Amino acid sequence: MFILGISCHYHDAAATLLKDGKVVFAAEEERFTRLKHDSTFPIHAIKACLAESGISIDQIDSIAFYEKPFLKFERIIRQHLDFFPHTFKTFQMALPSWLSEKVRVRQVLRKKLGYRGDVFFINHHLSHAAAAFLPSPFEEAAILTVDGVGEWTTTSIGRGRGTALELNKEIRFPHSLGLLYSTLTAYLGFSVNNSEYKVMGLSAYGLMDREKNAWYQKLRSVIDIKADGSYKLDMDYFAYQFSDRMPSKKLCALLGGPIRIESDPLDNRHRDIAAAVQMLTEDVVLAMLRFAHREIGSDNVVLAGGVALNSVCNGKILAATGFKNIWIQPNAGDGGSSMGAALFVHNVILGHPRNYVLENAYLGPAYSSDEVEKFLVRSGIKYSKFAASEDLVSKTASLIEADQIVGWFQGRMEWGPRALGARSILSNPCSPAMQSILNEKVKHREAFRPFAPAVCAEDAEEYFVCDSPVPVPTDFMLMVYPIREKYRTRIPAVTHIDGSGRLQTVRRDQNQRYYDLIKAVGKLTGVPMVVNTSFNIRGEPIVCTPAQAYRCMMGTGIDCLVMENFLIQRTDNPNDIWDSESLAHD
Amino acid sequence: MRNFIIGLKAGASNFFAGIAAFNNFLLLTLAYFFGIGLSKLCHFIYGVITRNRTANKPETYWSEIHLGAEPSDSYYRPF
Repeated sequence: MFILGISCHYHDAAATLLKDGKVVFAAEEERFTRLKHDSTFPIHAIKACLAESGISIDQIDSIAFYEKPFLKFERIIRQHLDFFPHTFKTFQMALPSWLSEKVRVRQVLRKKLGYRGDVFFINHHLSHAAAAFLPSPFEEAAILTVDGVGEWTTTSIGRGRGTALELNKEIRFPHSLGLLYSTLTAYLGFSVNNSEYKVMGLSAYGLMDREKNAWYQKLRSVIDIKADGSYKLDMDYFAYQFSDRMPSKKLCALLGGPIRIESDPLDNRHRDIAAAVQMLTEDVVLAMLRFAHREIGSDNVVLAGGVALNSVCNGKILAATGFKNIWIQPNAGDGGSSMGAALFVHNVILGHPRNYVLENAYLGPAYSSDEVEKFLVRSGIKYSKFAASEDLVSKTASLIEADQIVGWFQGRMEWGPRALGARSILSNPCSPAMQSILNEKVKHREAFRPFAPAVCAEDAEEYFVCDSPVPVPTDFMLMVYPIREKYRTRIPAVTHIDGSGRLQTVRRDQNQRYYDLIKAVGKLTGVPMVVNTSFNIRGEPIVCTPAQAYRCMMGTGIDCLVMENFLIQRTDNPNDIWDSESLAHD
Repeated sequence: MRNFIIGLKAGASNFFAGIAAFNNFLLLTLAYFFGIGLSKLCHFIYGVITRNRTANKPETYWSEIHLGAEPSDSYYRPF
């Protein structure tokens, strides 16, 4: 039995294919169209799903769509009614796509795929909840979903047990923690639905002290937080409910100046505001989780929604809430809802027992060594071939030790926004200059942006002050922990300004070659760790194909590319060198 | 000749796209003022409050819901 899950039309369109209840393929549309956060109908991702399984659309038994489009449309119309006539511009901008595509999902499926079978529509936050709980290792768990907005819900709490799933508390639009964070992201001059993680990274440079940070005190007047974590925003400070601009004039006045223009320098006020909104988010999420722990009475918790990608907050959950175990899927945002909707159909609606645990994020397309070699030969690229994996690993480790920057393209592409050792750029964490080299010459991005350390799972507690045992979401780079003080100067490339690191743990049964590489680097440098950042430049989706990987390497400061069994040196192919810097923008 | 045909096609495409955009603008403007605007006016006249701006301070902002397994028919509906 094949079930296809689809999420699209807002941001991060994606498709997931289930075969007999197990995920066989999942990918985001952006990787194929090369448009970051592409929200269009994921026709390329769907075609990749079908091609991977060698089936046609006629063999799909059911399609699961990740929300109820008419309920969302009702909310949109209600907003226009509430704020008439201020919404004239957004009405003109939004309505055509609603009428032509967004409410006509069945017709779109028929037109674009020729599909005429069953289509199930699953509530947005139920899809999130299903994406969080059904592929988790837990038999029962509390569920928290927090994002910008679904149909009406922005935050919900519920419980999962076996194949039963229920959400029983919610907070409704316009009160939204996700939109509060996005509003402050917009205020700080970053792009919404894209750069929230920059605010998270920037917050470490600000004053993370609730008593001393004046902006935190001011922002507390914007949101009323109850002891149970429920909250209400003072909507006079926001404009997103009727305009395409998010902060209102009143919020700008409260924060002491107009919206920052992206090209303007960041000053201490901006850093402190980023710290304030991060602390506020943590206050709310941790209070909600403490409440959920009391209400649900489970030791396990699963999270979903865009806010669940806030890895700084995630790293504090187990220590602060009473839960003993946590699980977050690698694609916790809207893209992951395609998986949630499909699993919900299989397990809840059709009543099949759960038979799938998401143990690794390698669910996208792969390219065999033969395919890679054909590409290299056809393109006239000079390369070296390694017959034995140990030789390739050993050579790559020596390059990393010599402070070379390595493009690492191996196996199936990752599911979700993080590169986890399949489409990654790797380098030496012990190099003091590496962070600025990577930011300037490879990623072409802001100097304050940190890089993540990847370590083998059994070494994590040696280097990090982390929960013990190390929670599974660290496999998906979803938790930030303090680096032990004695190692901070030893691994400057991955030590953030506040001494923390967004840890990725690697297990050998998940990615053998990547694991072996980290160990081999450890033998040479004394620190079994690599810098891991996504294989792309700023504003571009992570690479998907060998051609994209090669082009990215040649346009940036990446020194060499390890693609399956092949090593390609940048200096061996001087005619293909170009400069990608002009293309790097959000 | 080939360039002429390509140019003609592009010109026609732009022309009809422009016409479509203008029609959309006109129809949406009518829909906005006569649909949304009149509804708003009716709400105003009959005193229906659409926006929740009450000043009361409840003990919690959580609302109760029961969103979970429902009869399968309900999932066929996009609403």
